[in-house]
Amino acid sequence: MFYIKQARTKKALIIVVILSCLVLSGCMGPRGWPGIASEGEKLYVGTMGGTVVALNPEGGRLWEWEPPGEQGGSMIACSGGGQFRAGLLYGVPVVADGVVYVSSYNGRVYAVDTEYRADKWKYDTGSPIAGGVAVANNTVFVGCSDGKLYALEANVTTYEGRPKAGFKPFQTDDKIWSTPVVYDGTVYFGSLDQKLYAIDADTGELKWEFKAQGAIASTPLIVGDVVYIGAFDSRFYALDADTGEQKWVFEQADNWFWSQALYANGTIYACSLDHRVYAIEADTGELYSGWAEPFDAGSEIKSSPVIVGDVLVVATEEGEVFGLDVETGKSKWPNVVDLDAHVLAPIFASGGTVYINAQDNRLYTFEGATGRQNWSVPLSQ
Amino acid sequence: MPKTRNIVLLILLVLVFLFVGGFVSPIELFDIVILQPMLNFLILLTKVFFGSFGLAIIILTIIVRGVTIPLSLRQIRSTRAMQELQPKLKELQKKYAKDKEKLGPEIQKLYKEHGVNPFGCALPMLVQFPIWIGLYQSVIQGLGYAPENLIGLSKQLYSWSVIQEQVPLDSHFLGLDLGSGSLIMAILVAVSMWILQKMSSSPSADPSQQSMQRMLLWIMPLMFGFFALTFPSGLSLYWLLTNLISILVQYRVTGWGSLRIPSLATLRGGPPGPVRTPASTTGASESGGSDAGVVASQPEAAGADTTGGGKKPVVREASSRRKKVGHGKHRGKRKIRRRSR
Repeated sequence: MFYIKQARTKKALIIVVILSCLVLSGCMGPRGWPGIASEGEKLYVGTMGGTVVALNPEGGRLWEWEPPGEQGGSMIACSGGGQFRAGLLYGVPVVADGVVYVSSYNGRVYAVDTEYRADKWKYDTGSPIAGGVAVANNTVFVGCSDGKLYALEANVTTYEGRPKAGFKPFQTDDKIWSTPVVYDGTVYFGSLDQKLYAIDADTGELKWEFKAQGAIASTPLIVGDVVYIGAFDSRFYALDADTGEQKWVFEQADNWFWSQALYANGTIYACSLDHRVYAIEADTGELYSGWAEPFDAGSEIKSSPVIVGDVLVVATEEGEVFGLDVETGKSKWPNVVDLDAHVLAPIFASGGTVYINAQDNRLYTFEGATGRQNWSVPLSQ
Repeated sequence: MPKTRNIVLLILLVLVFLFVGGFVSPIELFDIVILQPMLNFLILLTKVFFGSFGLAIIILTIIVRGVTIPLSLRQIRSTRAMQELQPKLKELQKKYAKDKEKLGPEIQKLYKEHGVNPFGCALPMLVQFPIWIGLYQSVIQGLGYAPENLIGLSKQLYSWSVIQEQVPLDSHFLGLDLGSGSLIMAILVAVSMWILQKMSSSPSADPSQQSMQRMLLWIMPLMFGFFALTFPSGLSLYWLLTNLISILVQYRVTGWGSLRIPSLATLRGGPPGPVRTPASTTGASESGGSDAGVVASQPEAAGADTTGGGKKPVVREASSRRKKVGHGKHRGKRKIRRRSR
């Protein structure tokens, strides 16, 4: 039986519902992947709600800092980069001299006094920040989605932060989502314009730039006089830190390099989005012969790994955590740890303990040597 | 036709086998078969069209919508045929109100006589739906406006260097930042959606049906206008273009439908100026939209009908000011009476 009238009404309603679902299905708005920092025995952990929680070594909550005057995001978290104003955190907080520096996707950088848990200052760049900050020589460096690298005074007495005098914000041709690294008076950072830049930390003047074949979102690794960086062209580069000249390039990966690489005992450990962890000879760019083959984690590795003793700890996006022998690439833990939560934020390690800030807004801790889970705490109350 | 049907059946069988066998999940299959080819082609188009993602969105939308136009036409025609059968269906329902068992076969017979397939409007839509979603997802994923979106893109791209090198795509197009919401695009999307809704709505004597149509006429444009304001305007560009193409397709089949353009009708002797108000247009479409639509697409052949149908609301409002236009008013009434019979 076909009652056309009802059928048409139903059809209209179905179309509305389907279109709404269609629209919202494509809406994976920004959620953030906040990192972890520590000073002394205290841990400072970013939360999915855009706050920072201070914890003691047993996971006890000391205090929680909330960005002042946040109005939250748009009703649908699908708006473009320039419009979203919620205080989401992507970067790792940095602690220096009793101050936590936090960069937020709402475009602001906050300096929070760890003793009084009070805001020292804030600075609005006006553009979303999807990387962390670097602090050196009383200066905070941060890259923004407007393609600029800013330098801010770390110690200011006013509530409004201010740019560093004599430093002209450095403009690139695309978003800067990589966390800058300061080394020997030079700031190194990548941009989605496919270039790695080295600029003077005092003046912001360009020292050199290196053009890859794909965008750069990962944080550079600097060892001695070499800068190591992976790009979206599935290549991993070693560059001279003084000149930007290419020393070697590793081309065996099948997908982007997103996370920061690690260095230990002459070997670079780099995770690619092709699910593999590559151990590369730091001098030659060849695969490290101690590993029979690159380790295949089974799904994408988006978080930066850590090394605890002789264990390389790697987490996949799906929440599987592996402890690998840095010498052989074989599993060192008796079991693979399954967190049952997505992992995107960089892993953190301190005093033999591994900390993972998962996307379920929970902090998980393990013994680095064995993979045994210690404790986990929810980060929101 | 049977050959095509066999191919479709074969594809469906393979899909069922893959699902049931647990070889691949529906989402993975959708990604591999629809999303990835479309997304990578979109990025390739960006490369070809001077790195302009906006231009690539336009070209891909035109191509995809162009390929699915036969299905869209079939859907609209089937819907229209069903609408035309409605009076006869009502008669049957009235006639066999107490004999439900006989009603079904009679309705089937009616469909057969007129060569109408009741599922004719649903099937093409179902076939097109995955393609629309693929196109939509390609645009939103290609934009990579938030870190999560960009990193998610890595799963869908082919490892060809020509594609990898294009990411992230340039989000600037004609002064718009395709990664941010735009008021202009929101207005354009809402207006085009309203026009499409107005054109595709059919006249109905049923008050509940009318109120539903009226509600949809405003809800859809407002909803999509809001989405366009909130979502990246690259997506709005896709919506706008989709609406424009749908308007063209709709026009091809039904003409302007319920969307009367008073100026066309009234210019043939109706009073000029303030009487051609939007309010009067709405009145016209509610009383006899589809006729006007057919006429609008064939102005020479059906000029008299256009005047009668299209003028009525104009006259209704004008009659309070000018006696002279009363002639048109009667003609309009006659037409309504004729229809109601």
